Amino acid sequence: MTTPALTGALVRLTTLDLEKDLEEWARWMQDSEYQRTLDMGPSLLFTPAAIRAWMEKEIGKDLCMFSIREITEDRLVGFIDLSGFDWPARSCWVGIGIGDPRDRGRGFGTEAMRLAARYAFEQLNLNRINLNVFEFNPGAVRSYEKAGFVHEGRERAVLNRYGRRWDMLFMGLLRQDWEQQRT
Amino acid sequence: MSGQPLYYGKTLRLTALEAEKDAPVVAGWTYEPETASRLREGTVNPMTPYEVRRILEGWIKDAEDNGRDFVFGFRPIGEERLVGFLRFAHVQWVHGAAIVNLVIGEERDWEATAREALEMALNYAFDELNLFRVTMRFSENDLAACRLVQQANFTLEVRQRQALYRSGRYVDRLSFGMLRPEWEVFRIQEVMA
Repeated sequence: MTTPALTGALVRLTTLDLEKDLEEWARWMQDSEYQRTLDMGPSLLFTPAAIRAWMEKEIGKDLCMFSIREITEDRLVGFIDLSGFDWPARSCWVGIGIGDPRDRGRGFGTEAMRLAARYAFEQLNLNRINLNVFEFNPGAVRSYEKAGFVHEGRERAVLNRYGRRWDMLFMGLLRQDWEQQRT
Repeated sequence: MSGQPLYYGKTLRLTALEAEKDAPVVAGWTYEPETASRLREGTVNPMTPYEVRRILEGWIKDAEDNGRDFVFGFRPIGEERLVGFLRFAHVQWVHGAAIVNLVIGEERDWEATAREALEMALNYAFDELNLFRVTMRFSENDLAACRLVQQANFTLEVRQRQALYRSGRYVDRLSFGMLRPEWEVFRIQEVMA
C-alpha cells in the first residue's frame, strides 16, 4: 500500500509485508556488521517467526514501520521506522537500516529519510524528529546530514565495540529546519 | 577488604521501593511539572496512586527479573518517608554505560539532599555496577538539576532542540555525561573536602 507522498525517485516506502519481508530481515541480521551498526545491544539472531511475533505486538502501538523498496525492481532494501512518540512535544525517533551492504551508498537511505520526514511533518504534524547514530558509521552521518538533520552533540565514549570506545552522535530535524530547507 | 557503604550516606539511605506504600507519595510528585518530567521519558501527567503503583510494580519486577534494571528509594536515615528514588533502567553491560534517573520529590528535600543522593547514585554506578560512564538527561528548564550535575563536574554533551514541551513552550533536552576517570577525580575531591 503506498501513497504518492511516500514515493521518491529511487525508493518508495510501503507497509511491511509480514509474510515475505521478515525473511529478508532475518537474512540481514545474519550480517553481524549490520547488527552492530544498527543496535547498541549485543547482536542476537532471530527466526522470521520470532521477528514477526515481536512486530505484531509493537506495530501501531508506538511504532510506525515502513519497508523501503527500490523502485525499478520493487525490491526490499531496508526499513525505516518512527517510534517513541511524545505527542504533547510532537516529537518522535527515527531508525533506519539498509540490509545489504551493496545497497548502501546509493542514496536509498537518504531519500527514505526525506520521505519519512515529510510524512512526519505533513501527515503526523510533528515538530521534531530525533535520531542517534554511532561514531563508527560515518556513511550514515553523511546521509542524515544530506537529509537535513542537524548535529546536536555526542554522548562521549558510550559505545564499547571493536576493541575501543566510540561516541554516540545525536541529530535532530525540526519542522522549522525542514521548512527552511524546502525553500 | 572494605569499601564505601553503598546504602548509607550522611543523612540519606537507599532502600527498596514499596509499590503500595510509596505510590501515593510519588503520585503527589506528578502534580509538579518539573518533578513529573524527571520521573521518566516523555510527558508525565498527574497520576493517581493506582497508576503509579502499577508503574512502581513494573519497575520492581523488571529489576527482579531482567538483571539490567535497578531501582531504589531514598529515605532519610531513621525515617520511613520516601524523599526520592534512583533508577538505572536498561544498563548496557556490553558498554558499561547507563542512564541514571534520580528524582527527589519535594523542593525542600532537593535543597538538603540532592548532592548527597547524587554521590550515592554515582558510588553505586561506578563502584558496584563497575560502569564506565553514566548519562543524565534533563529539560533545560530544570535549572536545579542542571546546576547539580554541573557542580558535580558532569559534561554537557547534547542539546536536543525543542525536544520537550513544558508550560506552554518548547524547551531543549540536555544530556550530561560522566566518565569513570572523571568520577575518580570527583571522588578524590569529595574525600578531600
